[in-house]
Amino acid sequence: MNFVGAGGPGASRLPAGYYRLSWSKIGLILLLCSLIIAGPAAAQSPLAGEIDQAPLPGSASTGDYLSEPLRLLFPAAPASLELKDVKAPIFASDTPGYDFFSLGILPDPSRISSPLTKTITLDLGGGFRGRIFARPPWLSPLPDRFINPTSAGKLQVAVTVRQDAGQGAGLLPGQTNWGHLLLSLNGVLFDYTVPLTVGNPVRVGRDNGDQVFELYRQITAQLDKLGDLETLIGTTIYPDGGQLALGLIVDYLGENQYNQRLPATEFVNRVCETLAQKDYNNDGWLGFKPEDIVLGAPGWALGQKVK
Amino acid sequence: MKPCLFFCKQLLSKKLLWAGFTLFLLPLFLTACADNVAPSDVARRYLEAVQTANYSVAYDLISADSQLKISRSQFIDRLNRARQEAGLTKTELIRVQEPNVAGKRASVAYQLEITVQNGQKLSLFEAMVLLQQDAGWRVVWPPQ
Repeated sequence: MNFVGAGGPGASRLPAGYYRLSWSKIGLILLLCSLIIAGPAAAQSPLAGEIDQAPLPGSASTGDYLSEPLRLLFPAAPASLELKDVKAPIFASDTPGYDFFSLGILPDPSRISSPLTKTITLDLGGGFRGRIFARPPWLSPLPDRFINPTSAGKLQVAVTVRQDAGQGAGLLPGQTNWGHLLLSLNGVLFDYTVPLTVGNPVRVGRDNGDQVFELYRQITAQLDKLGDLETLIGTTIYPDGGQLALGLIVDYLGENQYNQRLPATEFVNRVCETLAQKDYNNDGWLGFKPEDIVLGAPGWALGQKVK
Repeated sequence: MKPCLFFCKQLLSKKLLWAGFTLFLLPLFLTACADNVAPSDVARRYLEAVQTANYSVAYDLISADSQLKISRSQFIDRLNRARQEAGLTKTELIRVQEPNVAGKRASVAYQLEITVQNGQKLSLFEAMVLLQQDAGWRVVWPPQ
């Protein structure tokens, strides 16, 4: 379309076929265009405004925890997910499908073995049958499966932290360890995030940052060189590879480089292999070896033989 | 009279144009600018917001998926509660490292020092994952 602005000296001398468009019309068109463009863009921006309510995955019950002693109202008897005989649950409408509660701070990483338990209490009406899935393995809910076919009541789940090398369960020092619980209740899923902050070892304090980040830089450089830098950012096995690497570094330095018997170059290679799940040095083993565990490496971080 | 009317129309149309620009195009322009903030700067802003318990600002810096998962009021409430229960009296951001970027994902490592109620100081060495979204780099929350 041909158009010229109106109001100029030549406005009244337009040849036939030209459309006369005034500034006010241009302004109006610009306004409409900007409304069309800016509207969705502004809505997508997280700065645009508050999201008052998260979407609910169906109606559900309260997700809260009490720091009272463990009281299990329902035995941890194995239960199937068959819903045939279970009455429809009565959930309050304001229960979020996602919740977050902290397991607190464990200042001394050498005392992880002491019991650490928190309780989630769910107020439920009607029948329910469910299971709880936890990850990583250091997070242990009890009971992890339950059934209450008809009557109303409370369900209390004790969330315990455990360290068990045989189960691949262990905490990393000097960082927040993030746990996740997935509760399946009559087919409705509830998601809980349960972080636990573990303090630093005595040998790795505020002034040891340079040492920690130098090893981190070496791991980054090696992965980059091998074309596997993305594994430091996250993989399906290790969704936050950087966090894992830093935790292992703090553990390594905290244990005096595993009693000074595992050289830094070897340690860096072990961490890179763990993250990338590749046998870089072709020794037939991925990540930490059994002999590293004997030296002081965390048992749960044990790698595996290459198939 | 006619020149005066013509002048008024001109003035009105220009004002309309400026109003249109200010009201709609300027926010669009500013939104587009958010894309240029580096992942480490976004991480620093997020950590500083958490450090000062300004959780509403922190919420603005988490990814769109994360915001769908938890509402602003829940986010603020839960983090406040976690801070109180843990007995945190001070959080100090010591350093934020340069990011490692792979495509639209980045990892930023940082060092914190937290002080608990009995005065004990704990050094934390952590990394966060960020995603590049329409609004710019945003923090993945909760960490996996």
